[in-house]
Amino acid sequence: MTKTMEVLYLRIFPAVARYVAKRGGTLEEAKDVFHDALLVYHEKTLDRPPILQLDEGAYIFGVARHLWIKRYVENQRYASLDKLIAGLDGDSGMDWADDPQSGEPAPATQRILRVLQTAGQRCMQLLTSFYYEKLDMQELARRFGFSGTRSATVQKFKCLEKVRQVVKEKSLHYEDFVG
Amino acid sequence: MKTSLDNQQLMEDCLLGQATGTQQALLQAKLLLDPELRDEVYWQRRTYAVIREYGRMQFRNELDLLHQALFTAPEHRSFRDKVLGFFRK
Repeated sequence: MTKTMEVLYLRIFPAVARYVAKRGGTLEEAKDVFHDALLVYHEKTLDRPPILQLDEGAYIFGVARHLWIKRYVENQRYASLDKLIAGLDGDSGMDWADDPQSGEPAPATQRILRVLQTAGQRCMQLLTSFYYEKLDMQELARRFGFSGTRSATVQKFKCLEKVRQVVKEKSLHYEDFVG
Repeated sequence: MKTSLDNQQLMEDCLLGQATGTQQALLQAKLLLDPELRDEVYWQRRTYAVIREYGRMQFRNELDLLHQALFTAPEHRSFRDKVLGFFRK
């Protein structure tokens, strides 16, 4: 976690907490929407660094307020984060990760994540560094100790293949189980 | 099926929106000829979604640790008192 997040936390969370408290919400609800607002901001900065020129405090507070209204006033507590923030700033977000099976019950994905946490940690670290944090191949090679970008690329695809097999097997197994 | 590195790179470029028109046409042609590749494309998209969820899970875990630290560390007592004060009224 970067120092920046701590600075943002100390600066903006009190305003979000006050907003939620005034409307009868709890500290846990304030934390919930604030963390997701920080996550949305974090992903925006990974995608397009120029957003930093915006007033980050106003942006994060605005997203948190939007999420609180959606989840706790309009009672959409179980809607996905992507659904809740769709079109928020005229950007559909991370199209690359649109789930072709978005109607899938969440437990299947949670189950896959638990398996990957224990069985494929190093691969998942490598893959999230590239696809989620958007490190380039040179940075990736340096962080994971590869001799160059070529071997980092090969390893990345090996990991992708391995994880894809896990996703496929566990998804199909889950569908068999619940179907 | 073990997908070749070339096919993986082609699929990835197309799915991540980084492919040229020629590459997209090439993948379309391969998909018409190879039903298994269509299956692979589907699972690759699912995998990207899972990778993003994994990244989000890690980020949320780090935020939970930060929250815990800010609400327990003595040097952040005024921050904690201020926030908790909103919920006491």
